[in-house]
Amino acid sequence: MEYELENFIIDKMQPEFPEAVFTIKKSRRVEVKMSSDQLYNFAVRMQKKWNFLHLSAISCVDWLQDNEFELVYHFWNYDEKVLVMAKIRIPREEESHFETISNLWQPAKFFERDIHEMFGVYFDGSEDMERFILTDWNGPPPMRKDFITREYALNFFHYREYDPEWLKDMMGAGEGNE
Amino acid sequence: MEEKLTQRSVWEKISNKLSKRSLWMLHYCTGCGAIELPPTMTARFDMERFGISPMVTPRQADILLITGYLSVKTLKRVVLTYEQMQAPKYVVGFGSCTINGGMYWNSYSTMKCLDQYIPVETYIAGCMPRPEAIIASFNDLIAKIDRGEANSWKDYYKNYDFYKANQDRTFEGPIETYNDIKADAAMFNIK
Amino acid sequence: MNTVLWIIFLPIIIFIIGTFMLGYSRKFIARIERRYGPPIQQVFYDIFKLMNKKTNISHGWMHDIAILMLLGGTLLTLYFIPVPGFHFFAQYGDMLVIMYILLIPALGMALGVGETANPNGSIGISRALMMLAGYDIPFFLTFIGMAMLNQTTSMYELINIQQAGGFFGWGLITNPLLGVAALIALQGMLGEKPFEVMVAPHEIATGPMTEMGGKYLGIMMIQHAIAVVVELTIYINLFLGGALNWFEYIIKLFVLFTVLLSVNAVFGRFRTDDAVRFMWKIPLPMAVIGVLFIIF
Repeated sequence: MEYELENFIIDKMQPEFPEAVFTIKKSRRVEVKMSSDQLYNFAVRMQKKWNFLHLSAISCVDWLQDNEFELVYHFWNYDEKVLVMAKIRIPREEESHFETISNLWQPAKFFERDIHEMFGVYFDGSEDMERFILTDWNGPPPMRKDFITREYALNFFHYREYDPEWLKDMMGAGEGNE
Repeated sequence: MEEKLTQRSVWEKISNKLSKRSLWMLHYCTGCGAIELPPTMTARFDMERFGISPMVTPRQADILLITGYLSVKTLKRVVLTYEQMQAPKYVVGFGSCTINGGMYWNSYSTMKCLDQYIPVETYIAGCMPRPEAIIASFNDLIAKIDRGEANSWKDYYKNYDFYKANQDRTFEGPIETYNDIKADAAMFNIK
Repeated sequence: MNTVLWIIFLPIIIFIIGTFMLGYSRKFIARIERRYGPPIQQVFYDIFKLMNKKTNISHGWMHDIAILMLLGGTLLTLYFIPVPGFHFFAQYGDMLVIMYILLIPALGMALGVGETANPNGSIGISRALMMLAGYDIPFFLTFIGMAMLNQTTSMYELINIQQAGGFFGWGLITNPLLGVAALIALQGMLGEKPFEVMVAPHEIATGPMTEMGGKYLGIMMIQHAIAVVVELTIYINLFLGGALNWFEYIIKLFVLFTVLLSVNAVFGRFRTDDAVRFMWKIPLPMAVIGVLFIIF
């Protein structure tokens, strides 16, 4: 029977979280969709009970039409070599808030700082929410989908005037960037 | 920012002729272009025969070589480094990212035009320029010093308000420097 | 009258010889690395450019005075060493005085660098003073050995004794152990590789000279040029027979410097504790055995 290992793992986890939806994406990849208030309990049980000791990453997806942010937590197991991705949705505001898991995994605070400066999600309870990539930035969070990079760059920075003849010919024929 | 050629005194002519033969270059290699500097310094395209040798602290260097793009985070440190160097000092913009943005022209966090933040003496075109191009442009810089036209460091003291306004607009707050430029200009009588 | 002219012009002559030797060293090392080097007068251009800087960054009066102490200590050592044709002060000061004065430049630099509060400078100075403890002990023992052997502490008489014996009267031939130990210690005193950790440029941003630019660095380069000639002259007067005319003196200087440079060009750099351990393992026992030979 295929996916024996993954079904074994799901059967361990499903009784404790009955409303969560488990899917098997492919061999060794399991996806869990759950509501955002259950995530902290899930992370505690992952680390202490089911031996998923490695937090690979925390990533964020911007769903503009649904008006939500989706946070994805990637957990990895060293013994059975299975990756479990926990996906939750939080409402999208100017500054969304969520709780931190950096007291379970210390390096999680770097992922949370990154998401804070790129998307604008504030993680409550964390000791340190300073920027570290975009220091001295005074614009909107740049990875949101309603931030148009080219327009911001053309307006904010000063360019030189450069209008040679050969570029005009190329643009007339339909090539080149504006 | 062109400078009207004033008549140089005999002492200035002699000192230009002698000090153009020994220029020390600061190893500030944070862009992609730094990879072209080791071939220029070693045996094949020997740069030391012109008197140019690498130096590691800004207090002792004459040339600040900006190799490639500068993000806003690095630009603040470059401005602080530039102000710690001792006059006369020359900034050489290396590669097309310092001229008009280069490959990263539509990025939200790299600066496009180095001339707005610190005064630049010459540019080297290319992405990346080959060591032959680097040596040719250093020879141009030496010839420019010989003619007495390499005076862009004075420009920083004279137009400090323009540069400071650009710097403050780009960074999050007013930049805190440790050198008082106006007081230095008055103390050392720079016109 | 002659003496007064010598007192005024001796530092200038030694400075010119020193800058040509430093330029020669850069050219020699460049040719070993199979490239053209800078022209021989490059060090003049460097010093001229440094003294010609228009702005200055000072760290207080102690910093300024310490740099002058550095240059003054070296000039003082220069006056006490007999060079061909001038040994006016050498009859009043002998080797013990020279051993004492040789420490003043290092102390001056330590005071000046400590004032700048830059951690790179402090690391550089602590390494320099530790290396000083390493190479000075074998060097002093060789001084004492030569003094005991010839029953005199005056360097001028040592020169005469060695010249009287011809080629086989040289200190290096009569006392090979002491001569070779002093040669190794001399490599450390000049700051050439493998004992160059004091000025390691890529590790600690030129060490003690981090905060010095412009005129301070110019004075330090002048001091370096004079100090090279002074230290080589001490070795020549003790072990290579001294010199009675300028032609012989300059030839001996360049040959000795070439031997030391050849070692410099092919070695890496020892760590500080490795360098001190090496200095106390190899030159120091050689010097001790040499002195014991003299006693018994």
